[in-house]
Order: sequence, then C-alpha cells, then structure tokens
Amino acid sequence: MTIKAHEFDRVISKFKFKTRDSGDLLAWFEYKGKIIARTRRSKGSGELPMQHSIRQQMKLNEDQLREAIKCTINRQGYIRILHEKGLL
Amino acid sequence: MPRTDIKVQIQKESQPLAPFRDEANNQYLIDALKGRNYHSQKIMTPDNILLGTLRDGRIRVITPIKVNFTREGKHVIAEAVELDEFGFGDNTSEAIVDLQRAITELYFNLDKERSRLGIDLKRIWDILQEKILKR
Repeated sequence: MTIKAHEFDRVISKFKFKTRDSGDLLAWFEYKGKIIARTRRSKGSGELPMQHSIRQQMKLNEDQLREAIKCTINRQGYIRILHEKGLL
Repeated sequence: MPRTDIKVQIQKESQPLAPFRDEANNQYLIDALKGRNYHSQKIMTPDNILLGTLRDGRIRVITPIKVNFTREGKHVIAEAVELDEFGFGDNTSEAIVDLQRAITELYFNLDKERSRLGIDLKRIWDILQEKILKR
C-alpha cells in the first residue's frame, strides 16, 4: 500500500500527534504524559518513500493504516490498538 | 636478435595478471583505458553494512549499527531495524547520510525526554545507549 504526504498529515492530525519541523516533519504520540510512538516524514508532497517503516513506527498493521487513512480510526481507536499491543 | 627479445617482452606484458571479476568491471577498465565515462546498467547496492559513525561531533558510535538497504522505486532506503529508524535518498550515500541525521536526532530527542518514554521508546533508548556515547 502507499501513503501520500497529505494522508500522513491527516492521520497524525486525527490521532493528535504532536509535530515539530526540523528539516523533516517529526511527529510523536503522547498518552498520559508518556511518549508512546514517534515517526517522521520528509518534506514535500506526493507519495512517501519508506511507508513500511512509517507504519512500523506508528505501530499499525497495513489494514489499520488503510483504515486510518480512510478516517475510520480516530484517536480513541488508535489508543485501543496501542493498548492491545501492550504499548500503553 | 635484439628484435626478437623486444617482441617476447611485449607479449609478456600484454597478459592479464588475473581474470576480471565480472563483465561490468571488465567494461569499466576498457572504458577507462579509452578515456570514456562509464555508465553501468548495474546498480551496485550492498544488502547491508555496519554503520560506525553518525558524522556528529557530539556523539560517538561505540558498537556499529546494522543497516539494511532496499530499493523502492527510484529511492534507496537505509533501515536500522533494531532502532526502528530509516533514511532514504537517490543513492546509497544519500540514504546513509539521511539515516545518520535521523539517528542523531532520535538520540537527542530521546535523551531530552528520557523520563517520560513509553515501553517501546524506552527499549530503543536502551539500545541507543549501548551503541552511542556522548562525547
């Protein structure tokens, strides 16, 4: 599967990742004061390379990322996924 | 008589010392002798390397970081699997530089936030500490 820059931005915004600009766009997910996951994407638009790695960093499988792009998973759904994976 | 000696000498010098390793290498040498620029059809990307530097004066790699390379369209991806970090570029060198930058940034970000890292990032921070030392 592929992910475009604007889709990445939509997903991290929906999950309420915090972001910082440092050449790349850095994004990290906080829950109850802890930093649980982090990812980054290169600047520019279009299809992102390293989608597999981005997905791994966000702790999502392919189906979950697909659902996230379609906006059928919100922050609560993401927290549930992280919880099921024992990351919270 | 002297003429014969010279001929023998030339024949000896024209013998290759060892067979060329592959066709690409052979073509490279022929083109180099003819003064042509060599454009390989073959893309020589290693499968993996051990990364021993991050090109940042503030930190030092004490245990090399294993990096795997893959191709994704026109990009080369360099991935440090154990750190869950990656870099990319148009060629292997660019991908390595991007990865070095990403690992350095990861190191300092996790260092700054180490008191509030979740389980997975704590694991990565522990690996980083085994491999990288602050100067």
